[in-house]
Amino acid sequence: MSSLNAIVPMACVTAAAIAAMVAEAFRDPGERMPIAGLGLVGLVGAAIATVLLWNHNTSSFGLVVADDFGLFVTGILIVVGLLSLAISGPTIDRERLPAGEYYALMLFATAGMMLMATASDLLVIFLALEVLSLAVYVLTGIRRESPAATEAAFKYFLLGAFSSAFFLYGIAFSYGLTGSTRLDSIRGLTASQAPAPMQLLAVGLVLVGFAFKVSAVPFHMWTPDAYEGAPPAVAGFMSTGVKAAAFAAFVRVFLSAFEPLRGQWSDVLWLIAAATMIVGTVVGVAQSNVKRMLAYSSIAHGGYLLIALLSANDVGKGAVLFYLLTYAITNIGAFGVVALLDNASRPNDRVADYAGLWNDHAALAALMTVFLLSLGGFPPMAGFIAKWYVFSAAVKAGYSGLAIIGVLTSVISVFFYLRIVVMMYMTPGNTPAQFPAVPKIAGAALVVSAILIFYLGLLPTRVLDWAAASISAF
Amino acid sequence: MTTFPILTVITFLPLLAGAAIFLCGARVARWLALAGSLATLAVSVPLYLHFDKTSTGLQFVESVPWIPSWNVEYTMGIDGISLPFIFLSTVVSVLCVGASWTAVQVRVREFYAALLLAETAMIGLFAATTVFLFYVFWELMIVPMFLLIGVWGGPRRIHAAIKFLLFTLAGSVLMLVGLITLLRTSGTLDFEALATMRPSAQLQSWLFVAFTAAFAVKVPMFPVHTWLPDAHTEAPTAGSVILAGILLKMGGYGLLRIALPILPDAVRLFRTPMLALSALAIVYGAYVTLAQTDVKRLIAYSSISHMGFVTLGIFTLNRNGVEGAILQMVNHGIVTGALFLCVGMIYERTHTREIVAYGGVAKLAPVYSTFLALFCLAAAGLPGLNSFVGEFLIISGAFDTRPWYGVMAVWGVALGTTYILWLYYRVALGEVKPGLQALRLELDLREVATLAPMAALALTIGLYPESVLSFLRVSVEQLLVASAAQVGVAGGM
Amino acid sequence: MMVTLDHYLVLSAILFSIGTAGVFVRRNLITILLSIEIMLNAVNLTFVAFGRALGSADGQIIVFFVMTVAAAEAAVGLAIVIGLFRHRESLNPDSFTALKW
Repeated sequence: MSSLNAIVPMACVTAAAIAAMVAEAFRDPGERMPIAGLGLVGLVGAAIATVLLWNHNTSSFGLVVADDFGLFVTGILIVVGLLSLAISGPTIDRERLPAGEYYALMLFATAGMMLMATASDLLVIFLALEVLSLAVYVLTGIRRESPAATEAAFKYFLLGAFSSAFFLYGIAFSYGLTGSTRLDSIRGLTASQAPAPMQLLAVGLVLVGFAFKVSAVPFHMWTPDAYEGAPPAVAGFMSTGVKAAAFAAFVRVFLSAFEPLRGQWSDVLWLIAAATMIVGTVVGVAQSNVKRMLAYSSIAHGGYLLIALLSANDVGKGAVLFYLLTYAITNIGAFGVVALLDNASRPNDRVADYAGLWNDHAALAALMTVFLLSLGGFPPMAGFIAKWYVFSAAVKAGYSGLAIIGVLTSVISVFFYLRIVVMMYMTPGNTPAQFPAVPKIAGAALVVSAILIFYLGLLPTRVLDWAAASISAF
Repeated sequence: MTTFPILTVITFLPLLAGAAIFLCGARVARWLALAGSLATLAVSVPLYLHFDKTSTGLQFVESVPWIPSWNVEYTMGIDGISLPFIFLSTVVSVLCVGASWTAVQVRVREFYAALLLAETAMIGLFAATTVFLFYVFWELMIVPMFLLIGVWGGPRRIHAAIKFLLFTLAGSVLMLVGLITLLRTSGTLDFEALATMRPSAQLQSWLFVAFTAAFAVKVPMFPVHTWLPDAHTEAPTAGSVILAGILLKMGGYGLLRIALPILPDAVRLFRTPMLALSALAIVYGAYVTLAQTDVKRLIAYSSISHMGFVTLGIFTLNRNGVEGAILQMVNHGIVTGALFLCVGMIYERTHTREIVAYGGVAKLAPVYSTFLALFCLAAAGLPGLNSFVGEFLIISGAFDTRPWYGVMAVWGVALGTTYILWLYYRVALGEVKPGLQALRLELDLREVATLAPMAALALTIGLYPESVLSFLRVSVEQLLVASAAQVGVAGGM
Repeated sequence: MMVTLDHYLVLSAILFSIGTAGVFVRRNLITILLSIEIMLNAVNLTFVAFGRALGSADGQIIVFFVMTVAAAEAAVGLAIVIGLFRHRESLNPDSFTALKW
């Protein structure tokens, strides 16, 4: 069935991205254009398309399937895109970044993420991965004047390109063995054959590629550097969008194409998940920079997502989606606060810089508290429900050990989240009024995220049911 | 009984008041907080009027599906064991608002909002009938308490707040593990349904360790008590009162609600060590109390000793002991809460907590000293005042089963009389200390109004203990029968 | 001697290893980029060899995609390297110390 419907969401976003690029080309120096508005239009178009496609299970070219799983992730990516657009404005103004390029890159990356979430062919997944990665490499280094930003971009680029070579090599072996790059044919053929060494090699290489993208230990080294060097708004976008897209593909590949080999990869993934949670939290405790701290926290959250992937019963697959959603909203909110505190003269990104924030920006401090508590998994925030979902999936699947590691590490992580709370509320600020004023749109976006966090924490039923329903299809 | 969701209203009314405070601004914060907490108290009155003292089941039950796909429901209901604690929570919250009227001058809005959020968490915890909801409120309590100590506390408040957090979270993480395991093995988290199931003895032991660790931190039992003196000392008066009045009770309540009925075999297995730790807490706490020079620290350590009676009573596993333990929790909430109020009131004037700075207060502030004397005597266990009844029941319960622990408890009572009367002697009697002469130590009307209800409660319970005991009798019997019957099935110890 | 699939695979594996080693060992950013290109080309060789062995054109078509991606990657990579060079006047990765690794 060759319908184009399945690619409409990403086409909307791509069109917006091209429009943003063209607008930039026709912009007089110094002229202000509502380029973010273009992105808004594109994302809203994608959202409408997503809603219309829901439950239709359309497929384009046999390579892109808009099943409910992919559409749910697309929805997450739309939320990520909208929030990122909203919190990017102040950064662009302050750093005098080229708005058109910035938004175009962000939208291209979003389109790549959407493609990655809905692709049903290993080669298309690779292409999508590159589309989003190339855009995000550039976004990371978009502050060209800053040595740290360029360096972060290079490190991210280097390790990203390196890992995608591994990923591609894995695809090559898988292609050689099965004669196809389509996930369903690979599954059919791997199920019928006894596992050959080369097949395990293929799975291993693809696993390495994904592990880099979701920053799982021991392939996480780029994460703190990239997040620290990137503008905070971009770091928020990266930490949520890239992770959501990569996890969507990860789940799709491992639970469909490589599902017959589960016995071979589940132990490895167990170790990776445990190491990811432990390293993410333990090293996170030692950080004095908020962005690095959030980077390690996002590594740890990757570990929880891996648990959900591993315990791939009905509960587990739904848990991946719900966790990705709550994590995306929460983390982008936290990075949003960091972005809004970013000052032209100084980044204000050390933990100590948050001292006395409550006096200067009570609302921002309160929002940050909500985001941090949700990341830490406190009820009644969404993070609690998400973690509960993941851990109960793990226990149900017989991974009690992972669940216990998860619970323990999430408690340790509370200490570094609450260190910021202690700073904000209990430590007097050293020099008052270093923080810039909060722009309305960005502030509103953060308030919306906080409301969503409470909504998902208190009345999660509807979204939980959506998440559970959307995985039953595949 | 009634279709009006009274427990939900009582639970979330303070939260609404807290939100209203944020909307209305700092000027009216105090009045709104007072109105909110008084309204909560008023709404809770029908609970006592319509409570059926002869019924063994849960009353005022509300049940709404919450997360149907997980089989998690929002259910609330109370029995005789929860009722006294809800009463305590609502009363203590009103008094906390009163006690902070002038003491809190910075960030008034946020202070009262945190206080009211804490009230919601406390009431919700005592009204919850599923372990899931219990855990949600348990965790919800941590944040406002952390902020109350850390923002409005004394000079070492950050240290105290973090220590509080460290201990509490370490406990609750174990509880979460237990919770997930319980859900997996039993498929339900409802208290009543769980009480009819029996996990294997080995699993019970693990669950007992996990849950009791969380509860022991809150009680606090020896040796995880060390956060309490710091938290009490550094917290603002209202924070100390909530800590002593309610937060510590959450641990004891958890033991009664989860450990005893759901894990009866493990309770019997761990009974002796728990009794030993309780007795140790009583005696050790009392001796450490004797050595204190800071008034708040002294009362904090006395809390450890008094809460030792509670766990001792619970693990006697007989009617006197358990009833005494519940009564002791209520009494401790009233008496220790009142003592913290007294200390807070005089601290506002003198700005010192060192005992040596005081002396002869009785001459300067007769009304204050009368109240102080009443609460000190109550704490010492004078017959006719409330603590006597609870301690007497616990000790008689202990003598019925394990006499030696009863002896330890009596020893604790004797020491308690010593330290508390010595405290009164040093503060209120003797020479008037030079620095105090110039200060207006006598209470004003608001402060008298704050202390008077506590005094009335102390006297009422002391003279007519049935006022509380009649509510819990049937439920305690039910609890003991339920946990004993299961042991019979197992043929256990 | 017949050149079989295995020969191609071994050759590409050797090329891939050379590229991997280059990324770790070499101390010049341009060489590191080249090493990554070698890795991608090793994969290309694998695809072509498999495509030929399977008797399908898919393998060679995939190579076109990979080459396009590799070109885009090289463009971005070189741009970033130029940006780095402007800050540090050096192509030695050890001189980039603004962020701890």
